Amino acid sequence: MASENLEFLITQYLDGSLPERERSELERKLSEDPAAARLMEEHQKLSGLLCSASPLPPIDWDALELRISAAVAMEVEPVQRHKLPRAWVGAAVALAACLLLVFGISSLMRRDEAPIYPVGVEAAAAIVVGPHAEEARGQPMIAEVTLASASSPATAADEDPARPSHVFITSATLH
Amino acid sequence: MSLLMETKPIDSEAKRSLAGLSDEQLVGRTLGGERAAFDQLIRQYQRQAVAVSYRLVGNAHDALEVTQEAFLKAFVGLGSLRQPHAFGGWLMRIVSNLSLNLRRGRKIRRQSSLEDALVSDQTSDIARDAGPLRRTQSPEMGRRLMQALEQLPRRQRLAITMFTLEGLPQKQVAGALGCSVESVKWHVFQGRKKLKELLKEFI
Repeated sequence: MASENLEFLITQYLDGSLPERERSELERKLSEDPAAARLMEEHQKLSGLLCSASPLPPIDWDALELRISAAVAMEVEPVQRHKLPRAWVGAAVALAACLLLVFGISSLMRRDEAPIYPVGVEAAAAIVVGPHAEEARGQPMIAEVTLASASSPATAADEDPARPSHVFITSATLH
Repeated sequence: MSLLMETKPIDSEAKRSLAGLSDEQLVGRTLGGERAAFDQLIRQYQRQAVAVSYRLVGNAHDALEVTQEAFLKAFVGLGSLRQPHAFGGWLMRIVSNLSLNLRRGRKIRRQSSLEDALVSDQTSDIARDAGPLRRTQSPEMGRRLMQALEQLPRRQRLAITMFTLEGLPQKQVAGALGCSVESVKWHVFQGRKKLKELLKEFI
C-alpha cells in the first residue's frame, strides 16, 4: 500500500467516512505495520489538536433568529426564476432559425437582381491614380470620376502595371 | 403586488409542522410567499452559519454580521437556487464567500453592541452552545491552530473547517465547495497533511 494512499485511508478512518470493507483492511495493516501505526498516531494527535480550536462563544440563538427574520421581512420578495417549458424554448429557436433563413435567402436574391446601394445619391468622388486609373471610369457604381492630375501624389511605383491603382474617394454620384 | 412580505407571528404548533418539512419544501413555500418557511430555514442553519463564519473570520461579531447578510442574500436569491434540496450547501457557500471577503478587506473589530446583545456572558451556556468542539486545551493552541488554518489553500481550509471542525455532512460541504464528495475527502486529506507539517512541533 503506497504511503500517500495509506495516509488518505487513515484520514478517512479518523473522520469516520471510510467504508466498512476498507476499514477492516486498514485495521489489519495497522496491526501488522509499525510505520502505518506511527502514521495513524500522528493523525490522531492532529485530531486532538483540531479539537483544541476555540469553541464558539455562547450565543443567544433566539435573539439572532428574530434579528435575521426581521431583516428578511424588510426585503422584497425573493425573485422567482421563470423557466420556460422546454418545448417552448425549442419552438422559439426553430422559429428564429426559420426567420433567419427566409431573410437570408431574400437578401441574397435581392443582391443578384440589383445593386444594394441607393441610386442617385451624392456620396463620394474618386480620384484615381495609377496605371488602371482609366478603368475606374467604367465602374458601374461611380458616375463621375476625377482623374488625378500631374500634381497628385502619383509616384513612379504607381506606374507599375502589376500594382493596383490608388483610389482617393472625395465625392461621387452613385447610380 | 406588495413589495414587503407579510410578517405574522407564528405559533409553536405551526413551527413544529414546518420543522418536519424538507429543505426543498421550505424553499418552495418561501418562494410561494410563506415567509415563516424561511424562518424555519434560519432556525435550522443559523448555528452552522455562525460556526463556519466564526472559524473563518475569527470573531463572533463579524460571524454574526456575516450570518445575517448571508441569510438576506439567500432570501433574495432563493429563486435562482437550482437544487432546492441543496439549500444548506448553497447557504454555506454564501457564508464562506462573505467570510473570506470580509477577512480580506476588513479591519479587526472589537466587541460592539450587536455582539453584546447576542453573545451571552454566562459561561454555563458555553457547554450548551459551543458546537461539536467543546474541549479547549489552551488559548495559545487555539491561536496557533487558527494561524495554521489560514495558511491552507482556500478549499482545503473550507473543507477542514466545515467537515472536520464543524462536523457538517460531506454532501453539504461538497455543495458549499461546488465539488464532489470524493473531492471533499481529498481536500480534507491534503489539508490534514499540511496541518500536520505546520503543527509538527505539537505532534
